Amino acid sequence: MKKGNIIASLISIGIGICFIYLSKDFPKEVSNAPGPGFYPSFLGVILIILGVFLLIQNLIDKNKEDVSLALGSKKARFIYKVIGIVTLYAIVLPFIGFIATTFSFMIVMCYLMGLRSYKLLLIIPLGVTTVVFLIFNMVFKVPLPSQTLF
Amino acid sequence: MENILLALETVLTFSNIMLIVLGVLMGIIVGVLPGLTVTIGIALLFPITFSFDGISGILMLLGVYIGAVYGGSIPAILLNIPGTPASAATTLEGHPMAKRGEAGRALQISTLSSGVGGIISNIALIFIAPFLAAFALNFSAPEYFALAIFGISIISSVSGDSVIKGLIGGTIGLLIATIGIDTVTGFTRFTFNQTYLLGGIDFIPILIGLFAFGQTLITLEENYGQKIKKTVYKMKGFFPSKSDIKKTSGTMARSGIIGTIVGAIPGTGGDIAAFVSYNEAKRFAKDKEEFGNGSIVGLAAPEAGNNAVTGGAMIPMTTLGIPGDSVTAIILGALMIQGLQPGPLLFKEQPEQIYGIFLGLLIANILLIVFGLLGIRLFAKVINLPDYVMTPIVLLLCLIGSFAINNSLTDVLVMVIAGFIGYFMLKLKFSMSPIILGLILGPMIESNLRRSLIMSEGDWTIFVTRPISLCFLILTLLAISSPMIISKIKQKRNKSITN
Repeated sequence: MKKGNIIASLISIGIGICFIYLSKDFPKEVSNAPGPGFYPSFLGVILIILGVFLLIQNLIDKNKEDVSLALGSKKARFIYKVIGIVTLYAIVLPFIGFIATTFSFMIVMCYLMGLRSYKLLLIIPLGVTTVVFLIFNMVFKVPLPSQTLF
Repeated sequence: MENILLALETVLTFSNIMLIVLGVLMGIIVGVLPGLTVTIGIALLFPITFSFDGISGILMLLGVYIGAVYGGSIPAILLNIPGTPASAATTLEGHPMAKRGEAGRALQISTLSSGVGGIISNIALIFIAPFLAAFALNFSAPEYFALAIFGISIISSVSGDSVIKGLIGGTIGLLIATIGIDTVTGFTRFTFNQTYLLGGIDFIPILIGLFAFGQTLITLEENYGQKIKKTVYKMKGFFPSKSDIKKTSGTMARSGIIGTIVGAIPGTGGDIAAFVSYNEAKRFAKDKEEFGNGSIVGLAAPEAGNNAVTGGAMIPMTTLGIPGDSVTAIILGALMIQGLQPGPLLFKEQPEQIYGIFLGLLIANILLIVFGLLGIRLFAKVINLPDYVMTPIVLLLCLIGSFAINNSLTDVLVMVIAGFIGYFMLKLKFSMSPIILGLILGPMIESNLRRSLIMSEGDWTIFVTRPISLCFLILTLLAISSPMIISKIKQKRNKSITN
């Protein structure tokens, strides 16, 4: 946890610096009042101060019980798989269309969640894909992506 | 009165009523499923409601809100697992009743109390909101700035473990809100010449990513390898008995009022209202020994209390445009997207819309009682829905939902990235609510700050020389320092007890 907090504080400081740097060329004053760059750079300064606070808090507090984040544990690896599948869905969707992507996504996800019955592995993805397609396409009139690759 | 009649005309159409019914039913299912909170439900179903124009989608979203707050009590009673944090107090009396074989009786009374609590708060909302709105009509940019600062100060109470982390999250939310065209000067900021960023980052994909996707990943990780046992319970009839209603009616009314007041205070929420209502019921009770062993009065109190929060939380949201928690923040965002900017002007310019929302909430509460009582057996079955079905569907809804808002694939990627970041932030015990509050209140803070400074020609004292603005700034200081003061008092008290 402590290591993670230190990284988080450094990222906060980094974001703060980025926003200040990016707004340095914005007009300084508009109608005698602060221009568009003032507010983001002000927030950037606050973010840096907060980041430094968090950093010091974690560096000083040596007695704090350290909760392990277990980024490499079995549980965490399972989550990375889920993130990977969801990301893959977002990338593949425009190429092979909603129906094929969703159907395969459901099969893989159900299997990953521990479903092993072949019958259900076919029925659930088929049912969910059909229902979601009908609801979004027919009722909500959302133009779900169709395949473009073939 | 005239406004209410006008609103009746707007709301009472077949399609609107059906949407409210649909919203309530979906909300109850979300509430029943352990792991799905009210916020996740609202974030997930937001894009669906979005496809209906104007007030109709909002009515559906309100149905989801009310349904989800109620639905959480079903697993609280049957499994001793609160479906949502707001139902934690329900387990105290509800589960002992279920263990005694009175699950049906407990569920019936919890349904009735939820509906009654909601209706009481709704009536309060209809009567109080117009006065507050009329008062706020005199506000100008400095007052709105101070008000928005007060609104954002609730970060200190929704930050979870660390206030610093909450403030970091809030500041990041405020910074994200600055991306795009500056509303005061029309200058483009931080867009890197990307057209997607020109209109600012849409907050809905971020919302779905942080609240629904990220939170689901955390829940998945926490429940990895665990199995929830199936429930068996008996139930007779549909309606609570007359003697039960008689016994609990006073408590319902009291808790309804408590819940409304708690809900109207920014930074509080259903969980606090439920515990305060429960404690008050215990204080007023004649036979205190029943409490803890399945007291029907002790069950009705938190149920009426947590649902009454819904109406209370709508008071500052609709009249002043500041959300009390992450759920009302999302509803506020939904209203803005539909072109309704909550605040006093909305009462003046579009009264039929705002009263329509109030009436819709009232109808949703009545429907909650009807469908709740008729459908308890079905809803209770939802608890047994296996994980391998639920999780893939929730993830799929995150993906499709973020696509459906603008039919944009970029939104889907933004959602995935936000979820990924959210997952790690949640692991580091960053709360997601401050980020959303920052995102939603950001434009209000910045534009009013700069308009005020243009009004005063750069003179910062404008915020402290105007009495109302000064009041809000003082309230902000109190709100920020109160958690520290309260914990100091608690420490002192604990010390004096141990000594």
